[in-house]
Amino acid sequence: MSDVDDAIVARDLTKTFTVARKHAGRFAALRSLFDPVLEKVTVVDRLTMRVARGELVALLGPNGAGKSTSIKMLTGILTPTSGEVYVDGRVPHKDRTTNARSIGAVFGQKTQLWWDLPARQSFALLRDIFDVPSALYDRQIADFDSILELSEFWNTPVRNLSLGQRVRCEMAAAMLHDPPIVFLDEPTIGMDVVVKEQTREFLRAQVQERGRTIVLTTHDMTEVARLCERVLLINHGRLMFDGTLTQLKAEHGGTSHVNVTFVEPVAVVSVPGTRLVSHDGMRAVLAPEGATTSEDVVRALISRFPVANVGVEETNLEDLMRDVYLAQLDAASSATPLA
Amino acid sequence: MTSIAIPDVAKRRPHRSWRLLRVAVLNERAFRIRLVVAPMMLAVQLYLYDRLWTAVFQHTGKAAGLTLKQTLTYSLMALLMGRIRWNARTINVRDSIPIAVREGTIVYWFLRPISPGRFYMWRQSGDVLYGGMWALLGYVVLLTGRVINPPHGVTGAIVFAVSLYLGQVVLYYLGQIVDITMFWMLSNNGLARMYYFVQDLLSGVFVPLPFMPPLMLAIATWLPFSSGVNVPLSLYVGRTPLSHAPGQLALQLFWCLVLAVVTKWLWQRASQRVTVQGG
Repeated sequence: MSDVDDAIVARDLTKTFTVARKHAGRFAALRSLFDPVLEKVTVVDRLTMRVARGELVALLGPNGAGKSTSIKMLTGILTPTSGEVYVDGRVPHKDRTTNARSIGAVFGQKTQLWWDLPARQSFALLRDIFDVPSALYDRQIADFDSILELSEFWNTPVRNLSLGQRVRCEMAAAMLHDPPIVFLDEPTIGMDVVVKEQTREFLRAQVQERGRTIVLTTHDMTEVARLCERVLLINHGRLMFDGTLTQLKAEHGGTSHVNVTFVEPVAVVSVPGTRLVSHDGMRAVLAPEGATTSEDVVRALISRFPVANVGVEETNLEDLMRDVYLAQLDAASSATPLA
Repeated sequence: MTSIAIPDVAKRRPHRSWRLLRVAVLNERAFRIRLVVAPMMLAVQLYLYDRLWTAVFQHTGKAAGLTLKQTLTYSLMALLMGRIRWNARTINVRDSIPIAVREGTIVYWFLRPISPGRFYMWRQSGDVLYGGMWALLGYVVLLTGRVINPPHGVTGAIVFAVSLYLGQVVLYYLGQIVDITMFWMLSNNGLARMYYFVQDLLSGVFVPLPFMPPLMLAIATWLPFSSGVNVPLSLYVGRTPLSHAPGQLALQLFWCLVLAVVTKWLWQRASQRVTVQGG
């Protein structure tokens, strides 16, 4: 597949910053000012990924993993130190102004709306900046309003909007010029569940009905589970995983647990294709292994033991991600540090 | 999945970005009290300067080669010219480079189909036009009240208008250079305040340059600041004869070109080092 067919292509994308380390001891501030110790820090390290058109992918990773830096290279804001990147068939940092028409972006708490003006006026200014035709602008505004209910507050100055209202306006502002590719860097951070669901519905509609490609970074695993079929997991600037949530669970032990309570104490609990997690006579927890499903385990338990109650508990995605991050942290700490 | 045909967005070219000019007025309208404070502040400044220079000239007919009326014309018009870029002095304006860099919203400047420099130009031009409106109003009032001299004929008016425009371009570029330093400094409040003090002092806003001691006058003449206020006002009040106008205008044009090149170079450098604090 060529680099134009996919919405996003990155090959060995690397970003290294030069940072000044402070001196220690007497006159440290003065010495740091005139004789700084410069150090190279690799924030994104040979990132290779592809995102197809019309896909909604989650770019996940712990704080400082390199997610935002990756997004900034994909949007053309940052110039990569090395590697290749194509977004909508273009090298984004080489042709920022043309690239701007192909992409939209929301960066968490950073607003692109004019703070003292009503959101509606910000939309109108963005329409002029992007030269959005009137018919398209009207359609977009009506479309966004139908899901995000913007008209309830778009005549209020942005500084007076609640966080949820402002983020909904940010979403609309990012897609007003009808970009085929949208980058959302922690857009729903700090929002309540109702507004989160509203924005999820909006994003789903943008992908399913408008065919947009969306790259989402978030720490909200519920959001990932409800929106994204595919996840890209990066840590220490490296791509650690690229696949579906199901694959992630399978590869990192994210299985379900079967909790069983017996009518009377059972001395030995043994079910083929399972691992016994815990057992205290009246209760036991079993983890299916290999091709065994939780339904298989439930059936086996009921047929073999005097079962009073049985339930299946899916591994929490938050816990799974925590385990993945911690496992990678351990692996990284034992490996050579980044340059 | 029901996808729609994605429009060829890259083919559309921005030709309406000039409408960003209106942000200046929209911002002012959002704080209507400013519409009252702006003329009040201007009136107080003009009145105090009028009293000050009248007192200075109480016992003398001429100072630094200027009569009282010439000095009043120079000083009061210098205040009005300072008003032109009042809102464009972007120390605390939210969509200015200093605040945008500090808050990280500068990323959006690089995600638009117009360059950050073009966006800056339209925003500044809007502020300058708005400030210019107040300055023009003040000028008409002062002229009508015969507090200041009129220009020396039609030629004088045209020469002054051209010189005023070039002076504003010089000040625009100088202010822009100070703003762009934010990409390296991340906080340039101190630099900006110092710069604007020096600019006002050496351009002739605080005191007409002819009143400066010879060394300072020489320094001011060799720096671009005097092109902003002193050159057009010296032509207006007649301290610089109109026969010297071509040379003065050429000097202003020279500074415009030099500063334009420096600014363009700085933007290219700055755009290579956009860093955004906090992810």
